[in-house]
Amino acid sequence: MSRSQKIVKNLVVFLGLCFLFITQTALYLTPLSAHEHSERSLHYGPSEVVHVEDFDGGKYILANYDKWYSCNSVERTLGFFWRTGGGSIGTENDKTKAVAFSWSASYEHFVAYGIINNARVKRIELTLSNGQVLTQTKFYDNMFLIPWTDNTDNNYFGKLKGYDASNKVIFESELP
Amino acid sequence: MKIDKGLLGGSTLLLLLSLLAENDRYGYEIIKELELRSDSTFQFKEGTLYPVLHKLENNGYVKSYMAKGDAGKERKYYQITSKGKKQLVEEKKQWQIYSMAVNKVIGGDAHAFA
Amino acid sequence: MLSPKGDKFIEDILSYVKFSFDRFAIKTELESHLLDKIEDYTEAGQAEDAEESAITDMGDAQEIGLELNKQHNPLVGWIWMLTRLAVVLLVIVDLFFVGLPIVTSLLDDNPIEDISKANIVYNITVNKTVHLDDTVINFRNVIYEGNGNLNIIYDYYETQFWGTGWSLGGIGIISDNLGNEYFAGSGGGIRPIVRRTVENFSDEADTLIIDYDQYNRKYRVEIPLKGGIKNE
Repeated sequence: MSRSQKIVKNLVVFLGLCFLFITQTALYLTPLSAHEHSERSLHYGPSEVVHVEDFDGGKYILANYDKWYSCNSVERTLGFFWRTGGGSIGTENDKTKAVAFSWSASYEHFVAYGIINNARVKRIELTLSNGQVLTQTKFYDNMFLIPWTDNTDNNYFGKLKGYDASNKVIFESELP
Repeated sequence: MKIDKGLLGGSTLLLLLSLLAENDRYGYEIIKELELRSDSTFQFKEGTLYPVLHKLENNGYVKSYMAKGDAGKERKYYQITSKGKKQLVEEKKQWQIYSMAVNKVIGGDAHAFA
Repeated sequence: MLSPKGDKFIEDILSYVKFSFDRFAIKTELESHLLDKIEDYTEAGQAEDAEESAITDMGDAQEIGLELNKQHNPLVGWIWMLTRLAVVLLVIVDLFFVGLPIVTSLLDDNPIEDISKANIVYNITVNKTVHLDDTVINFRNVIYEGNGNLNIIYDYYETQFWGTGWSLGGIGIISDNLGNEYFAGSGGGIRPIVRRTVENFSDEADTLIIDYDQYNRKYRVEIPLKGGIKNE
């Protein structure tokens, strides 16, 4: 075998080994494919993706599936691959509440998300434990997602409020 | 494929592939065989055979392996590949055309090289 | 062995070959040629200047060296070495990340053997298979122990090739025909064979029920037990 043939052979073997590595260590080429596989392995979904939002090192995927809503995360890894992040699964939408929500944290990345069941809610206001206020008025369908980061270890979820068009509090909760 | 014309006067590929089609051989063995069969017609600097053999290997006509021969000495043997065998058929054909043409020119009648 | 003169002749040739990793092989080949030739000259009675003649027959070191260098392209050589290195490294990586988990899972003990035989009241062979997406769960045995522990032995595997993903390891809610619900106990992990132990399982129950109903995935396995055996 000539040297150039050996190079070709090596490259083929190399690609085969890469494929084995990528598939068996759960690396994916796109964020959504990582998300889909993550849900399936958790026996959830497939959900309908409502919104994808970047955070440092990854993406949040806001989605709903039947009567559940979820915010999964996927992370960039090894340069150009994606892997599943927190592996979040759905929370059942409690339709008796004007706003059904949940929040989660992974290292310094926090996210609050949920579904607005009462169409009168026009603004979501999130107060963090250190008093910082984050608001969202543009929703994704009827869902919202508010990410924040914290390295200080004292800035977690505080309180969530839902306001109507005339700034009246319709919903308020400290616990999801 | 261009082969050093100086080595065996244009028929290098034909001669080397023919010898290797019979047997796997090492460099010095090829030289001795050429000398023996051609009654020393082909005179060339022996060292220049090796770049040619390495070129044949790079082109995929032959492959090489290390093995111990009769005297127990480890040598680098060359073995013809299927690509080399195909090339040999081609070279033989061309040689016949060539020698027929030469014969026609110099002797009128075509006593093709057998 | 060659004399310093023969060695120098070969070194001269090699000095033109830029891809240094090929030099050794070339050296070996040329050396054996010279030694063969010297032997032939010696046998023919020209022992005295055998090496000298053999070197002369070889030709010009520069010419040979330059021609050899053309056939030993350093770029091709380096690419070849790099691809070979890449393959070797990836084989190691794959062995570690792919091979090792498979081997450890194969070498894993059957957890049934962890249960002391003296404690076993009964052992039922179940062999019921359920599917959860790409996961196949096969319930193998139910072993009831004298201390009230009910062991559920099952194995599971993934049918999809791509990725291993997460595993919550949940098999569902465990209950009996008397309406008692039990904490599923410990278990799970990446082992292919899992033993889950439910403590204080009623010895009056005659059916074990494993009920999975989450996110629109459902299965229900009912396993007849030899309930009340202790009372007989």
